Amino acid sequence: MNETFFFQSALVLYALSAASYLIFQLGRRRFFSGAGWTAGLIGLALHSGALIQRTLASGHAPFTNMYESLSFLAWSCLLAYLVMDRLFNLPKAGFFLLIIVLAFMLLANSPLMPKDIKPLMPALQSVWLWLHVSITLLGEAFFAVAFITSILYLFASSSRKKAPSDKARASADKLDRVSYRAIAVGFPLFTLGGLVLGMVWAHKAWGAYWSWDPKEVWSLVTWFVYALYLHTRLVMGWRGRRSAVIAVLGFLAALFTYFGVNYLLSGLHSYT
Amino acid sequence: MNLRFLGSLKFAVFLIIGLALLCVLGTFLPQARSAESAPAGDRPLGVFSFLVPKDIYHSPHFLILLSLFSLNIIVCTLTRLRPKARRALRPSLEADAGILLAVSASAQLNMKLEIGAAAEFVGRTLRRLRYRVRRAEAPGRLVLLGRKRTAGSFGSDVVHLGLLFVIAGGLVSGLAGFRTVLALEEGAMEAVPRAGFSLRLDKFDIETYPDGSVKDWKSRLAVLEDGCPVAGKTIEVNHPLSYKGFLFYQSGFAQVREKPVLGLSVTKTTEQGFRRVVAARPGTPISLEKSGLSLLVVHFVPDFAIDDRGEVFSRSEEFRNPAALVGILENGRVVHHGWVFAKHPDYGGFHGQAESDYAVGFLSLKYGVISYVEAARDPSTPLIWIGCGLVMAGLFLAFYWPPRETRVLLETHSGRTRLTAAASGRKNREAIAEEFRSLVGEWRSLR
Repeated sequence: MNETFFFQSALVLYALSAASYLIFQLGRRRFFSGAGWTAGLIGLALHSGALIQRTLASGHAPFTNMYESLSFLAWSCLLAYLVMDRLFNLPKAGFFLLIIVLAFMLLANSPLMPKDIKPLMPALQSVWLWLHVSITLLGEAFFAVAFITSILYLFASSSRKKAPSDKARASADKLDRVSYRAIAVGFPLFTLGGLVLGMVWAHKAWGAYWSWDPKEVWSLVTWFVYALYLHTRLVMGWRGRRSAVIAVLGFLAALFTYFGVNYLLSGLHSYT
Repeated sequence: MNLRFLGSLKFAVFLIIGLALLCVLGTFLPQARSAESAPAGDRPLGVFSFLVPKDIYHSPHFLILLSLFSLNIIVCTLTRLRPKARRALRPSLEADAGILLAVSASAQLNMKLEIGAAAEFVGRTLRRLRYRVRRAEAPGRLVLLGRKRTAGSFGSDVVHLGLLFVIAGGLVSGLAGFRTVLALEEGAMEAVPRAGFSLRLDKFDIETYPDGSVKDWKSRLAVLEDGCPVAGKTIEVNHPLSYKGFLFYQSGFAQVREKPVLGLSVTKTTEQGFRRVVAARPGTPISLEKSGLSLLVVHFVPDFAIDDRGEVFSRSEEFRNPAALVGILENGRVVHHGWVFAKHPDYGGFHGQAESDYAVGFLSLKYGVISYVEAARDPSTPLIWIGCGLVMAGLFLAFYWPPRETRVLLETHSGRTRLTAAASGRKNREAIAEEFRSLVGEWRSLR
């Protein structure tokens, strides 16, 4: 059983999980959200197998090109969701999150992304590759959860303009709260992995902890957006729609940091 | 602009958005990589260049926003810190039963114990849950205040302090930082600018993967002070050399035809077993590990030819017929000189060649390598790491170290002790309520 086998089986299970969650979305039968969760967990285990196989075969951390890092990001997003779901019970976010996971997986699987193992360039041969990338992507995975719950909040709050029932309001409030909790996990992780460890590594590899490289700048912009989210929320008491909009913008900035910078801007982080 | 506005969150929001927008702008416009490399002369003038400077991250616009941002953080922290510190260090020990009962996690019960003993007991139960307990007494009335994780309320201040360190570090780096690139040839020495020492590249190695792509490159460096080696290290990417506040990074290398390295062998006809192999560069004498004996490549031509007047010249820059005029000196006296040819190793009879005891062979020819070593002195790095540490510690405190407070009022009430208590905290209401319930359960059991 090789990496491809693990990867493809994980992909199938994620699709099954998404389908289960979709049925749950339509009929609200608890059985299907449970099935979706289980399929997701099994898929995650198989996906872990693929990542481990990749690491063993290549001898380096499994996020050195776009295929590897997309695969790891999908893995992280699902992990973040499964954890948040256990803590806060979010079956309604399952389908949408799995759409994101599937999108990353299919993109990773597409012929656009070369999958062959290439020897590692000297700058990447470092333990900091493990720490910097994995912690950053895990942080971004929690941002993805906050993105989904914020979008769901925005839909929920716009679809009922008339007096909402108490139940609907409670469920929307919960989405708002969960977005915050996800960002409360993602923000420290992103700060540590993306900015602090990135600076430590840059200092070791390039001799300058900060070079205003586009990837660095966009990480900082992402950080600013989430800092704005936290300040307006914790100090100014913003809740609901306005907070949700900032959380959505934050994730878009994170996505641009991840994709846009590699394909649209050039700089030191050109590892595609 | 009054002080309150300077420290306000509205101002902070405005500054964060401003900084973020400038950052974004900078990534879409061609930027000079650093302040030093920004050409000063050919800047276009006009409104656009004023609004969008060439080097946004070092422009006055950015620096002004950053200074205002620092000011905002300082004013905000200072104005909020004092009342916060007072609350943390000298909390009010007052309690009113009505106010306590208005808190969601609150309870009232009667205890059979006498007020002093009840206070002892309640204090013990609080301490067991790691509360620090303070106590205030008045006749017939006693207040216990239990608090834990008080440091958590300073999380945001610690983050802000960390950011100030990082910004200060950036400023120091811009003012006092210095970086340059040294191009070192193997065996050559180069003085490090603005430092009292030199650097010599002793050896350069390139490692490749089986498929031929470069795996790693390494420079063995020696630090020389007054010509004496005082330190050394083999540097490679991710592994710099540190000496006297300077860091030397392996940045890259280049192979250059103009600086060839000749592999030469020297043998002596009158001495069996004498054979030396050296890597020589034109113009640089090499000692032959025997007292007083040295070798010098006097002249090197890549494509050897002779013109009508009998003079040596090079037909091209390609290594078509590489030849070298090699001299061997013994105590400063020339004991051998003659041409050697890479492609004709046996040919030694070129005219003008004097008979000598030595014979030179041309074994190999390589491009010379220049190793680019980046030298950086940045006194700001400690500030940056302290700042980063504070930011992370502060984030941890702010998110995962929520302060919690349990206030207990004991009153003598018609011969019995009446206990009124409430628990509060910033985060995680459920956990607070649950802990409070278990406390109340314990107190009740003694009723």
